[in-house]
Amino acid sequence: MGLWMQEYGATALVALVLVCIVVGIVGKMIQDKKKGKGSCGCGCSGCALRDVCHKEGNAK
Amino acid sequence: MTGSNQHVGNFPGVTVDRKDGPIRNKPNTLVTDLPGIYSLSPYTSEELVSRQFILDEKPTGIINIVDATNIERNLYLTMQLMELDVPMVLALNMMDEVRGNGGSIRINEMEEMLGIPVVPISAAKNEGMRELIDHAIHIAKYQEHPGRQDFCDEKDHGGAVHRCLHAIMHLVDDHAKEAGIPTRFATTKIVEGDQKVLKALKLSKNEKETIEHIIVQMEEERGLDRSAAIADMRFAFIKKLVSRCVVKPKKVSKERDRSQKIDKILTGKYTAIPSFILTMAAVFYLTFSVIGLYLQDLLASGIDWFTEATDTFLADIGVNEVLHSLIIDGIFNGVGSVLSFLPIIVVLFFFLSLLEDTGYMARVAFVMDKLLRKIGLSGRSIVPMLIGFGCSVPAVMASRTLPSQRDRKMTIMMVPFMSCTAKIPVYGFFANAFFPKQAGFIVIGLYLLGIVVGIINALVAKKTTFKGEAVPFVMELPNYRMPGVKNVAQLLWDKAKDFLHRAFTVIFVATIVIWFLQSFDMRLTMVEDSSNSMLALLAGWIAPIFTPLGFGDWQTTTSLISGFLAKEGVVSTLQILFGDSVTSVLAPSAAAALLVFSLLYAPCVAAVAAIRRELGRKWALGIVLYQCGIAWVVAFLVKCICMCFM
Repeated sequence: MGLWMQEYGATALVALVLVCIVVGIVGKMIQDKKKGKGSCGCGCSGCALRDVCHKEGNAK
Repeated sequence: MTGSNQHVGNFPGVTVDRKDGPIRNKPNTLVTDLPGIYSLSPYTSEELVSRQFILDEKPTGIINIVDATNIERNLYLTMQLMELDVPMVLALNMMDEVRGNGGSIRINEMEEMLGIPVVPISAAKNEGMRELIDHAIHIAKYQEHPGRQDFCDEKDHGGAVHRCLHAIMHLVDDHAKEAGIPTRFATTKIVEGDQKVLKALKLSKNEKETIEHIIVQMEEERGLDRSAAIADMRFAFIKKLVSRCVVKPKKVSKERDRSQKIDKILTGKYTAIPSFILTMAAVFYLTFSVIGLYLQDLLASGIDWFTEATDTFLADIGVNEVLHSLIIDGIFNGVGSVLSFLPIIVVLFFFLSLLEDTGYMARVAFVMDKLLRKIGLSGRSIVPMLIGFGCSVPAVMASRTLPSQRDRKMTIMMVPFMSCTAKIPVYGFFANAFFPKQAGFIVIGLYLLGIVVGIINALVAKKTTFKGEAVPFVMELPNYRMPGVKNVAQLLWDKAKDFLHRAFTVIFVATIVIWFLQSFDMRLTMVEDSSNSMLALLAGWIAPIFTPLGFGDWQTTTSLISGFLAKEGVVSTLQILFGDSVTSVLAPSAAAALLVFSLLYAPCVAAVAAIRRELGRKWALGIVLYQCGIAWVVAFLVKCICMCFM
């Protein structure tokens, strides 16, 4: 085990970090898509038409 | 008022929908910001949105903000709003400017004549806002309805309009109450011929005929048609009000005077277009050849240093070669190449936001209106098209402001030809690699080419698919003013944040996918030579289409496919597949053709989805195929022309 860790430990750790990042990004993209954010490539924060897409989120 | 950070454009027609938020430090309140309008006639979507909101959602009060420097025009809407019988406070904005020019307004007299509270404010200087909020909360809480809704004068032209309106009010009172529409508002709308109100009132045939007789009688007595008679009645009241309450500046305001002088050049018959081209040339030159380029080089050096440091670190800790290659050759190379364009985008939008905030973009819309009408488009189309220079998705949605289906379709077809932000890295990458000395001019040339192709496209459509005339466009030109630091900073932050978000989501994942496909073959064995990879096999099927354009290799084809997901993907993919050797693989004429193809071919998948939402699946597919065809033809022409000169 110790030998394996010595030989592959760094690779496993880096791969794990990378997988976590990719899973996080893909998860965020799916979440955004479900919220209706995913269709707009330019983001919505400064968009004059954001309420057209996000009526539900803004309804009070 | 709400403390929210919305981008505010010195540019009419950008906001077409409502925005909600509580008043700052008043959590139990809810303010709905409606689009700026001049009347409650149902001609444009802005007017419809505002009117529907007031009639259907029954707000507890209205804060009617009018430009005090041009009070006659704005009071027209005020009178229509008062007819709706909703508690209202009138805010006279830009009072600092009125006072600064030697004018004044007798607030108490105005309140007396209108029967509603009037508060002088300066939104830009935050003056009078507390008083306005207090008044708004008061009228909403105690439901203080306007003290006056009747603006017709029984002595005016024998009282023709007065008698007509009051007769109809008696006739439709029960119908209006049943439909939930204020009687006075319903009456003036009936006289104006508003079909929506007429339908809602459900009048009998007899009642309709009686009303028509009354209106015709009024028209004969008054000597004006029905709409003009109502407008004249309102303006007569406004004239009386202004003569009593408003002390106008003796001379034209400094701001107006300055704006008129500047406009002689910037909107002059012969100077407008050259001024526009010169301004944009300066912006692009400074962005792509001076400031932006310098900052980009700095950031690229930082990214290179970080990549090298990570490369060394991964080698030192003994990370597997495949994983090492994925991180350095794939992710760092691909994302880094896109990331280095952040300064270019920030600098470009810094200049564009300055132009917008000063009021110049409104002039551009005015100047372009003439041109657009010649090609059969409505001047209103300029708003979606200008938004299209930022991003095609909101631009496609902004076409909803266009009242005719014909104009909407034509505008949506033109929008993808405008150069959106995502194409900037593509332009920058090729212009700097192949034409470093003319980078700024190449980029402005591409922007202009997009506009020219869009215009030719519209002209062809006008003669074939979309015959007919465009709907007229009326727009107010604001005075030139100094750009607001907060507004410019807000826009820059939004653009930078969105760019970074894309680089670390779509582009990040795309680089991993591209690296994987170019590193493995169909048997999932890692290949020594990427020309044996599955990517080379797949892209190789499509590549021959581009052979006449000079870039019929699988690498460039792949970059164009990834550009369909996000335009920046063209750069990251080429960086992964070619590294820094792209200049030795492509001839300058092929690079020029590739640049033009990237400008004109199908919009990104998000924009296609927006088009599908607005026009349907067939139109979306048609636009994608049509644009790819146009892009191929124009790119081929550009390649041929370049080959003659290079």
